[in-house]
Amino acid sequence: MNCDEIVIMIMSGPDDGREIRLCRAEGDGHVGTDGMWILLLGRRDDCDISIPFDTQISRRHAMLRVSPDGQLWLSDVGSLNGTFIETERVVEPTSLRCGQFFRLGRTWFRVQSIEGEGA
Amino acid sequence: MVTLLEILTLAQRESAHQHHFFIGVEHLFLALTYIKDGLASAALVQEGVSARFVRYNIRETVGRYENHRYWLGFPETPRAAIVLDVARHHIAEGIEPERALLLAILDEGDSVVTRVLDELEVDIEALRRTILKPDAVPVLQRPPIPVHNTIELDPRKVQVLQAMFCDYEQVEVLRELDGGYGAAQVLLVRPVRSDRHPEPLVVVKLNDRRSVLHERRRYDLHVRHILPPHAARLLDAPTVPDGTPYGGLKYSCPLPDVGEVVSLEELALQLRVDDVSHLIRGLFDKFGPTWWQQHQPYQFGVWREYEHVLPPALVVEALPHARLGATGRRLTPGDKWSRDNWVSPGEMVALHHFVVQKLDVEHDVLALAAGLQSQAVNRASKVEVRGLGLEPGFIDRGEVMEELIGRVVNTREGLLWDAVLSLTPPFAPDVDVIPSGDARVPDLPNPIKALSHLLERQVSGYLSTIHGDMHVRNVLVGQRNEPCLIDFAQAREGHVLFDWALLEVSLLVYVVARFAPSGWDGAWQIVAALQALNQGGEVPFDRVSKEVGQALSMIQTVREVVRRCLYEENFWTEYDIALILLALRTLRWQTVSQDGRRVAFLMAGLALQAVHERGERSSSTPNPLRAPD
Repeated sequence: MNCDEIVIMIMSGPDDGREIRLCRAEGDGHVGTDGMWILLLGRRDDCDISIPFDTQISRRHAMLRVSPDGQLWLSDVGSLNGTFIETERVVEPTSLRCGQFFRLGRTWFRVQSIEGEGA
Repeated sequence: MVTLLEILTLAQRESAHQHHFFIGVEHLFLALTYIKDGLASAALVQEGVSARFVRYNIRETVGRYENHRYWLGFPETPRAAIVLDVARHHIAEGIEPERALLLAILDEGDSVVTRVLDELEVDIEALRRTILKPDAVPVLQRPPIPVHNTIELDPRKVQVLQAMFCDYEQVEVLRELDGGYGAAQVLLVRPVRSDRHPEPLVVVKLNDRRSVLHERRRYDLHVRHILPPHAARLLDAPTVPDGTPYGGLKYSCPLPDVGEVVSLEELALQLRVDDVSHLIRGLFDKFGPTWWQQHQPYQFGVWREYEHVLPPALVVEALPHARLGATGRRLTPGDKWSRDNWVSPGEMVALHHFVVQKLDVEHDVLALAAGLQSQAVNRASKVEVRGLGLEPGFIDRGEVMEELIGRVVNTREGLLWDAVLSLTPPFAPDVDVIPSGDARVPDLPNPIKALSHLLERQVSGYLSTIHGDMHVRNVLVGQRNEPCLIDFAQAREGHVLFDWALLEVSLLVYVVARFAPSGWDGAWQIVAALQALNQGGEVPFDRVSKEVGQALSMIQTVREVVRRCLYEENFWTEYDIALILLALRTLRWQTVSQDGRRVAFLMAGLALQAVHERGERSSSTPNPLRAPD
């Protein structure tokens, strides 16, 4: 299978409840040389997931990498206030499961689903 | 009947107050709890939590935003829009707006509100059933129960006890365990049922309302999930009744009967050395596996863990209309200025982006620091501001002060020197070297002079959950000499040795100092004996009274535990630094006797001397590791 659609929900703040659907086939994010699908999260509006209203989020804050078999890895890209999976600070790329909460600045997120195109 | 529009207006007010300026499900829920005699508050009480307690936790979870609006009006979040849709649907079917909105919030089930209720262990299904009852829950107004007390209690605190034990026929306050300073009081209480069946004793802590809510939250975040069986637990939700500035927490622990020893302090003062040693070892064995034995390597700047225990870095007289001249300094939290001493009295400073920790309207004192979250680092860079002309509602705890200009009137060193001066020392408090008062001890370096150097040091240690305030009055003696801990207001992830160094310091100032001759000579005598202990020897019974010797042997037990927690085998500098800073802290503790403080000051000097002798590093170089955020 080739994983190419991910749904993330914002779980707090002014966008609480907003679902963000990203699709590889539609050109969201970019694909690394190792075949990982890479999504950038931050305050800047050219991030794949952009959260403009949270001043505690850095312009480029965190990176979500999706492996072809649907494994998720979250890493911090030198943010000021850190990236957290539940209460644990992310210091190196950390595995993230569907349904788990993670936080950038003061904004909480949750991966809703991740789907592939089939074999 | 309250209309949906009225609820939305309340929600906007709440949102504006928190500088959010949008309407989320949390604001809708908070609005519902504000309705006088409303359904939400009544239903929450039915489930054993007060609206005030739930509000506090929702607010702490969401946090206050900086005062900056990105949009006009109060847009609804996507989640609030869905909830309001469902509520309007219910209203169209004839359900009253309050009930309709509450049901919609609970049924949506995915908002901050339901997450917080879950965290507080509120049974959401039961809450929903209560809300559905047609004649929902008028809160029973029972007559206040009698409180029999042998100690003097503020009537507003009695009110808290009455609310806390309203299901009982009466309550007896047996004695005070710790008067502490400020508003806090720890009491030993026996509730009595109508059938006169004896109930187990409980420990009650009364304090100002916010501190009570804060302590419970710390407990929920850091302690609840990792308490070993039979440790003291917080029973029930905190009691924070209307009409009194106080609140209360109820700890359960299996205590022996009245008349018995209750705290480690009392046990130690009776010089029951074997029992004390048994208790201290038991404490480590019982809580250790989930607390101090987690052994996560941790390299940190000393200030991150210990600066907050010291007096404020600066005391500033506010000059609201003044301007900062060319020579004035701009200070932000977390910077070096609070550790080195280059800001002096008389200088003008501008404080930027400090967070309000505490405000004391009565004495017109505002306490500022770096932040509010539970880590010690957030309470570093403390500044005390006077002369603002504080009035209630002027500013809230947690608010960020954008800029505040004033003149420095005192510094941390100055405050500590004043504290030493009040102990009538035979030397000037700001000497570099404290001339020895005992032939067996060399002159000691002045620990106050070394503060900035110590705070800047990097230390390798371990990180774990710590109690954060484990002095001899917070360790209780349960049945069969089982240790129990109370007072979780400072619980956090932190340096493992913090707890044990505080235990040693408190044994020294509350217990050992009590048995030595009064005055500086007695203090030197204790320090001479401690020196022998530090050098790996036994308690020198030939040089001190039998009582002092016995008391010191309890400290030896603490050291046994510490030995097992050192990062590098037999390299005690990590511990000595903790001792120095925690000992200096007690110089300003109101509950410590003058003799206790004299011992603390000299002991800090002795520990500093040991740090100097050992040098900067031992053999191995540990891996640099992350600090907790």
